[in-house]
Amino acid sequence: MFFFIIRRLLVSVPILLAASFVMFGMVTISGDPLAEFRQSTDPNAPQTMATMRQVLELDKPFAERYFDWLGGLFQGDFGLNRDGQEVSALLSNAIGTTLRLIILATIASILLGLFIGIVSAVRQYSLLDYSSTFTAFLFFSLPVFWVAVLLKEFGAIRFNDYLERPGLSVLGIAILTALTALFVAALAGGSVQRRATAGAIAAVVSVVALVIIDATDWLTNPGLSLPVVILLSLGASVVAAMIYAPLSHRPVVISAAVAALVGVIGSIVADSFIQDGGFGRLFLLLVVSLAVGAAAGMLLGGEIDRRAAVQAGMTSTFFVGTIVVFDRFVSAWSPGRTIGTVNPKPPNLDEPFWETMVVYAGHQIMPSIALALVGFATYMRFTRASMLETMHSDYVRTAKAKGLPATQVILRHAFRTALIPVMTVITISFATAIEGAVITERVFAWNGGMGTLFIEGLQEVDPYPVMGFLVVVSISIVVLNAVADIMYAYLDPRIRR
Amino acid sequence: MTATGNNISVGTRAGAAAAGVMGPPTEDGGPEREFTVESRTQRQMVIRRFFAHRLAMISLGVLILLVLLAFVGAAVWKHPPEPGTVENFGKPTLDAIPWLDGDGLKFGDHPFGQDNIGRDYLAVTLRAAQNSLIIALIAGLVATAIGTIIGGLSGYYRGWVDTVFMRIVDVLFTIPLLLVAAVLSRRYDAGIITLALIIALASWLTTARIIRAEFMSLREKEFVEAARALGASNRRIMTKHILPNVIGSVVVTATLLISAAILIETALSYLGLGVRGSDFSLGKLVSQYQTAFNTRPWLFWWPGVYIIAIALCINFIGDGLRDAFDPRQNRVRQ
Repeated sequence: MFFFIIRRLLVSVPILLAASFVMFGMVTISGDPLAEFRQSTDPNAPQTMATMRQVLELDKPFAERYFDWLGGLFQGDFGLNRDGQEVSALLSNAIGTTLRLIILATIASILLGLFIGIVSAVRQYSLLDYSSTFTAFLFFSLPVFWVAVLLKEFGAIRFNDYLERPGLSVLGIAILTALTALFVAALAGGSVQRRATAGAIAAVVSVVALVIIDATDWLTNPGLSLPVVILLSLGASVVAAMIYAPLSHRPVVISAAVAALVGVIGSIVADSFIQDGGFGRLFLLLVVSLAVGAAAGMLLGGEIDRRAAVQAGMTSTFFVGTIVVFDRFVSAWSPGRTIGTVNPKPPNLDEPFWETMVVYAGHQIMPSIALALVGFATYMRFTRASMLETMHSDYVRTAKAKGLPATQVILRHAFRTALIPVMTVITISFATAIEGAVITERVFAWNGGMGTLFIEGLQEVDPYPVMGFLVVVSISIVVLNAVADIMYAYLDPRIRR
Repeated sequence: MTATGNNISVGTRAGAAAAGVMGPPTEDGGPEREFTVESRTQRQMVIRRFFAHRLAMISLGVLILLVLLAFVGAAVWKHPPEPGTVENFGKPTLDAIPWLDGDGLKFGDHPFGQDNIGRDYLAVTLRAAQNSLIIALIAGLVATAIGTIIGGLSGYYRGWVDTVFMRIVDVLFTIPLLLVAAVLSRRYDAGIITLALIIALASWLTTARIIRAEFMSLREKEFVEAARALGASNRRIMTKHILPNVIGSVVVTATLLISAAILIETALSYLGLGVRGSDFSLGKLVSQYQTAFNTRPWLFWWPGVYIIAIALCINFIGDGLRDAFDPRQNRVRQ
């Protein structure tokens, strides 16, 4: 497997070299870099032109410029742009800005796409299936910048207005409750009675939650209180246990629940530590909480269920960690903050960790949604098709026949196989997302991102920033393909050699 | 779609013949009704399955309507897309929701409103839709043709032909479509046809890969061997024997390419690399009027809705075609 990946990477080297040569040629022939001076009536224009000629090395033959650039590239030198700035410095800033956008959009679209894809495959030909299919096709057909205008108007500007005087009308509560009930009923599936019960329970929970939200003015000052955190954590622990074993295996459920409780208590003990924040600390907490989950599984899992209990415990503490982080995050929201429509971040940002995160998120959420739509639709459709195929295969029928609960069959038997083709799509579309970000960044005026480098470089016939963009895109394509190969081997034991 | 599809249709015909022979005779001497299975060719089955796909049929109807509106409608509409006097701030006179104000459905003089220099916006939108549709159709068809020819040749001949073509495809895959389009459309002053060809040039790669894979597996089948044994030329084997089996993939990718081309054209127009000069395209309209959202929202809504309607219809038709060509669908609707 190792040599296979090395071979794959080596094969892509000549392709990348050829592509970079073609692209360099294309950028240089795309226009006249001195056009603005030729029109100029300024008496100094010929002199400026001569200087530019020298700076841009226009007198050198094209091939020589290319090989100079390539040689510099191997020493980490990406060349200079027209204004004499280091492209590598511009690029490292731009990558940060763009990655922030892409990663969030990709993670959100993967999670949601896989989830809805699985559900609509399992409940094929249900109302949920039809509506999610229609939504996916709609998202495929939307021009990004058209959506962006709507998102800015309704998601940001009007939503900010709403947040100044928030509140839920009876009609609003009714609509939200009806949607929740319908969704949960479709999710539950089975007999009419089962669906009706699930829908009714969901409706009651939804009404209670919405009334509390309205009464406590939650939208102006959001946050989860301790009881809600505990309740959510226990629920998450049951879900975590369900992933790895049937609920009748008590040790698994118990270890997941205990791990969750320890996690909540830990979060109270480490309160000020979390409040100070920082990515290093969050990572440390992640490691600690996974260790706690594993320990709970080891101690309480018993002989037979130890493996499942460890996995369930770790998943459970991971969920708790997510809930705690979410709590801190929304608590940092305060009245007066807004959802941004332009710019990656406000100038002069000087606030504590969680508040900074909220400000960033406020600026990021609309572009991320715009970018995530297509990804969500793609992942959802592929997951659905792939799940349908595996759900009808013999080994899944065997798994059902031997009496495994549906969650087990779907997640551990069918989904694992179905994930293999979906992985390819995900890795490839992550690379295309960088290209998609070019337009998204422009719509939301995210200056200084990769898209700006690319578009401005093209407009000014400035090859080096454009080539910098292309180098990053091509390398990420190659690396992601290698990642896809590794994931294959992990998911499909037949490939391991 | 593939040889499997072919085998199934042959199988049905053989089964029907067998049933006809073996069915016990009825009183009037003919075969018993239950056993007469009408045999259908693969094409008939595909068409039948496609017509049974409700969403695809609705989409086809809407798409035909949109195309007719863009071409015939624009020709008979009373206003040309030229500047005039602005009436009533250019507000749309279309009243499509008769039950709200109770004065019934009416179109008025400028149903889609007018833009800031008094052009009738319906005429402008239809003119733009014409251009967008022409671009998408040409781009989709040319890309499909290039992809099918290159993919077919490299899948059929393999060896160095395959190596050369596929390395080219690999290299082109690494080059972002935006760069190709930007460079070419800047260099060759982009008329509508040029723009369509540029989009085609940048989007045939996936089709080539798909068709190559299908040709590769089909060329090893027995029916190709039989044709070769009978002395058929390579050209004949490719066009008469293999291509009909690949037509499903070709048609489906063609529809997807057409709907993608509409969106690519809008994206290019947005970046200022699409239709230039005084001519319109839907993408150009949206990007031109996106700042008008608060003052004259109709200038923003109509072209956007037109784009989405076209792309959505084509996508649904593509989905219906995919289902219709899928041999695994046989068990449901025979």
